[in-house]
Amino acid sequence: MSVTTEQVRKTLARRYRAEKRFKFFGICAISIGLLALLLLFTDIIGKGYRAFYEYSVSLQITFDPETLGIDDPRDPEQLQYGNYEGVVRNALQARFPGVEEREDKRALSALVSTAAGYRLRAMLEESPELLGQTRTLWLQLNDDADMYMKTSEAKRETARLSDRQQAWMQELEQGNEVRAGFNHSLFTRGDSREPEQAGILGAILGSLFTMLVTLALSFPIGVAAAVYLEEFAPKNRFTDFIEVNINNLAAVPSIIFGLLGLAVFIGLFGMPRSVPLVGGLVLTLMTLPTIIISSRAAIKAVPPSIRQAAMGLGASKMQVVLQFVLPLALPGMLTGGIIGMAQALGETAPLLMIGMVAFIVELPTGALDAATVLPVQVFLWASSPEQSFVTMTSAAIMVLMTFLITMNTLAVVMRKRLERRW
Amino acid sequence: MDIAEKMNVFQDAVQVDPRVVAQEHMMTEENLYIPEKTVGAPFVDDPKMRMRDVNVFYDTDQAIHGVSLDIGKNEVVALIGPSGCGKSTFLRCMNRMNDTIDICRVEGSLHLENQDIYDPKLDVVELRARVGMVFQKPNPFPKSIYDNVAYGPRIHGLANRKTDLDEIVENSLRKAGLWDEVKDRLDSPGTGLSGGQQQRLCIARTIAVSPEVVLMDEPCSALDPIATAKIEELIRELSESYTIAIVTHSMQQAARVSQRTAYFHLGWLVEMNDTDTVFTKPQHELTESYITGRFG
Amino acid sequence: MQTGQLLLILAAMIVTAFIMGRHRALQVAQPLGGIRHLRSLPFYYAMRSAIWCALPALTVLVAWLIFDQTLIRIMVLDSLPTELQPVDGTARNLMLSQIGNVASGALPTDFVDAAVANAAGRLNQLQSISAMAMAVVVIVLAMLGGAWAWLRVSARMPAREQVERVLLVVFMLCAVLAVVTTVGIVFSVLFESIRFFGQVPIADFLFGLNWSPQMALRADQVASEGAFGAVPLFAGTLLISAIALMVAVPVGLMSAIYLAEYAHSKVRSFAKPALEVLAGVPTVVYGFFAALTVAPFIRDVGQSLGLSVASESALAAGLVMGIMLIPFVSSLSDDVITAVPRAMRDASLGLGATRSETIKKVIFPAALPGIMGGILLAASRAIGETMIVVMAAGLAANLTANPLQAVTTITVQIVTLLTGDQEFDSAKTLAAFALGLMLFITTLLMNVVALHIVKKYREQYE
Repeated sequence: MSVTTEQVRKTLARRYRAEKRFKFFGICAISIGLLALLLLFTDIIGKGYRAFYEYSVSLQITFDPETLGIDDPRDPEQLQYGNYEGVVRNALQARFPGVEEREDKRALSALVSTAAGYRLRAMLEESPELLGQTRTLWLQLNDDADMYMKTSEAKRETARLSDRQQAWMQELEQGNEVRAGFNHSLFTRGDSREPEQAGILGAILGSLFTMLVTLALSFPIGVAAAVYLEEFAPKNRFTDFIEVNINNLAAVPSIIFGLLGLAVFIGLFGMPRSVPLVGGLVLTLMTLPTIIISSRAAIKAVPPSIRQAAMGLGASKMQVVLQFVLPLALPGMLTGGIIGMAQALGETAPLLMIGMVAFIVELPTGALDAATVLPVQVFLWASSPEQSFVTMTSAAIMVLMTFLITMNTLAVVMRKRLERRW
Repeated sequence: MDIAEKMNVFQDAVQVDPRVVAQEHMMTEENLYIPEKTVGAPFVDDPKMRMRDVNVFYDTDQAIHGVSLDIGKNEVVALIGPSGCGKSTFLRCMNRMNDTIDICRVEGSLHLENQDIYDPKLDVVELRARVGMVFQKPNPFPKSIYDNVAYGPRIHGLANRKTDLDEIVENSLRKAGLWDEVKDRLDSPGTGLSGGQQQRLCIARTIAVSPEVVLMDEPCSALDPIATAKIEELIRELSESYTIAIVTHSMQQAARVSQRTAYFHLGWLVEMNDTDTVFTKPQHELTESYITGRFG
Repeated sequence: MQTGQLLLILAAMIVTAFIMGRHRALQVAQPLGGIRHLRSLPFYYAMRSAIWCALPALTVLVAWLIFDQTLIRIMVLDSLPTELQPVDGTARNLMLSQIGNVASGALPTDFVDAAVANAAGRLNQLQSISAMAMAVVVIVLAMLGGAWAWLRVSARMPAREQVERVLLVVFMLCAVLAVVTTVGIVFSVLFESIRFFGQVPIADFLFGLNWSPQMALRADQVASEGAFGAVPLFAGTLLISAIALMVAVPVGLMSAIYLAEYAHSKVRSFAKPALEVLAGVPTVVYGFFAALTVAPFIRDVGQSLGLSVASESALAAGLVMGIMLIPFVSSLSDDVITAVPRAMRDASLGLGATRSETIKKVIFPAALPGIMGGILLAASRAIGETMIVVMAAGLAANLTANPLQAVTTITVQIVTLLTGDQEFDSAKTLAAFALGLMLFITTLLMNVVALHIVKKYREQYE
């Protein structure tokens, strides 16, 4: 055995320990990353799944003309100002006849959401013959009562209901007079101060309009810029300068784009605040670098042989680019576009700057209506104190993440398909 | 692993039935075939390395077919053959560099003296310290010349003191014929040397560990003729103290530096004999076709 | 007429111009013996007509839309009698919004001065005139352009070359937009910052240790000055970013190394996309996670250890930001590690080095510049990250290095100062732009250096 072998052997144990240690660090690192992901998702799903259903209570509602103050249900004026809460209050008192104190009465009627009144009005408007009749209806619970029902038995002590209210709820529960159902208002309404009446449809529409503006602008502009830089731009200082600019813009903090939007679009051009159009413009500027960079990569991936073949047939440079290079590079560009859109969809900070944080109940109908977007809705709800809004926030995050993961998966699938081509 | 990398791995692995390809390579009407058994004298007494029935697979493609040969002590063995014949793959089996390729699988028995190289209990680190390797392209580390040569001794703990290390570095560089050229700039980066100097630096780096066997994978293919001549001279000098296996494309090089030559064809070892015999009196038609330049 | 309708009409006109241009080209070609006697394909004549129809009209339309409101405002204000002329910017904005409210009917006319009511009437009148004039001008321009192009169609006209030249210019303008954006950013932050430094000395801002902009709310308040010393903000930003990097750099780097050098391909095909999911999570989600889960957890742990932890501790925000940066660091490191040539690895392994020795002594030093570039980019991200800190870090401008205390950052203050309805020239809003300027300069420098390093590094191995 040689001297080398002997000496190497002496070091082996120590070196393999170092090897193992190093590998262990690697496994730790991966585990930390994956664990963080798992924690994040379980935390959000654990908090949010309860927002997808809601509890309602069964009550014998009498559309009493006297209480309502309505004698002609066809008169819109009377319908508008009818005392629907009173009807609900009566129904609750009929259910719990022992409640006498003024304060207790108020606590009792607080169990049912104020949305119940709107529902009764809508019913009466639709079928005026209901006036004077009695119906058994399932009415939405108020958020605190709803939260109480959603909390497991053991933790109900901490609910935001008084002891009496808790007793009433238990009585209702034992009599099977409460039931859970899908939370429709989550997907059919805009924002509201009352958690049980708040929904994310307004934010989803806001996001949709913002994304439409962004997509319509950033994709064509990005592709055109990429085509110019990759195929036509002369190699000179100005082109280099443009490239440096694009690479830097890709790394500029998003909030800076918000400042730009505030100072230029709103301050200088006098555009309105809080509208998806301005949001879309700001996000366009923000996503452009991403789209340009990925589109350039897609153009680069088109084999030069195709260009040469087309040129050889006498096509002009522009014809070659538009008829051969672009169609071949399109899937790659779309991939980049989707990733850029996903980035824009999840963006919050610049939109705060241009006033898309307003509390907006109405559903937006176009890119010029004041609106908010999903991530901003998350931000707004996350700062509300009500426990129910935490649940709602998590639910909104789940919806947002579903959109984002779908988009990213789509991009990955497209990239995979593209790779197979050459 | 992306496609390009995979193609590199497959460089030596031919996927078509070798006998058919062998015939396609023929320029003449003669019906040549690959022999069942290697022609010539592949074995020696008391070999340094003994390989028997070695098969190598990349996934399902077989790159080496039942190769058996010996490498004697302090001799230079040249492995020649057309590209894609498996000579590099075979060379890389001898210090288990193929382990770094996931899809590569080696069968058969390979022994260094009496040690089974593919024994699961054997330590790869120790094996590679005993069987060093010089690669096709000079690949100095992006470190100083001194650190390049000192790398092996350092990781293996071969020198306890700075003076020992200095001595090892100087000796290795002297043996590699590089000392006089670089002794004044040991701190400058190894990547700044010329191609030939870089390759000699890599050889110095390999012998700094005092291996018993040095494997060289086409060490001159990236060099100009003058640098090649220097490396060849170096190989002849080194053969006094080391056992060397060299893969080469150039038959002249094989003839100049080696004592014995093995001719590979599409993963088969066709013929192995004294270098003189192989080049003057090849016993197999395939060998003859190759060395007379009828294909390559 | 609504702008939307105008656009529809314009689109219809462009299509008509296209069809007519094509028809005309075919007509011209017929007596000559077919389209091969034209210099370009009929399609290009059609495109040329469409461009002539669209381009001048669209240019005017966009310019009109951008500038009409500003001009109308100036004209309306000028129409006011001298005694009602606003004296400063604030009064001007107030007056304008009052006139606007009257004009839209939100404010009854009998609530305001007759002159204001007149101005409101004038505003409505000007706006309808402007809209009408715009429609007329745009449609006439489109018609003229289309007709001109139509008349000029001839067999020898190089229509393709002209169309291509226009397209090329359009493409170039799209590329130049990147420069325009940068210039826009620089001007929008620089302009307001200069006004800010007119009110607050730059040295006070850069070196002041006290930040309490809330004081400047009302001019008649006792401490009306407000304190704009940004050092606590810089320190807070640095503290949170440092915590984030301490999490992200080791974890991200080791993940990348493990995935590139050790992991089985099955592990890799699962773990890599999983880490990429972390990169796709919106920052507002991380903010929510930090504020509602991590921060209370850290506070509880701290309390059980007898430490006083602020409920909005720098540690919580930093940790979560670190998680956010893990995939960023790991994918950048992965790029640079895999860029180290295989030959280096082979050389080291061939000498008998173990994998970790190869990584630590050969690959890591070789990849170091690239990794440093990546870390610098990550640091720039951390500094500019907004939502996590807005939601999880506090507003209290403490000057401390204790990660268990609440600190505030540049981005948090920008958001706080600018959300809500603000006058555009109070010291508070201007301060936000000054902070924006600092943020932009810092991140720009870091990005330029980082991108330069990474580029140099890539070239080395290409």
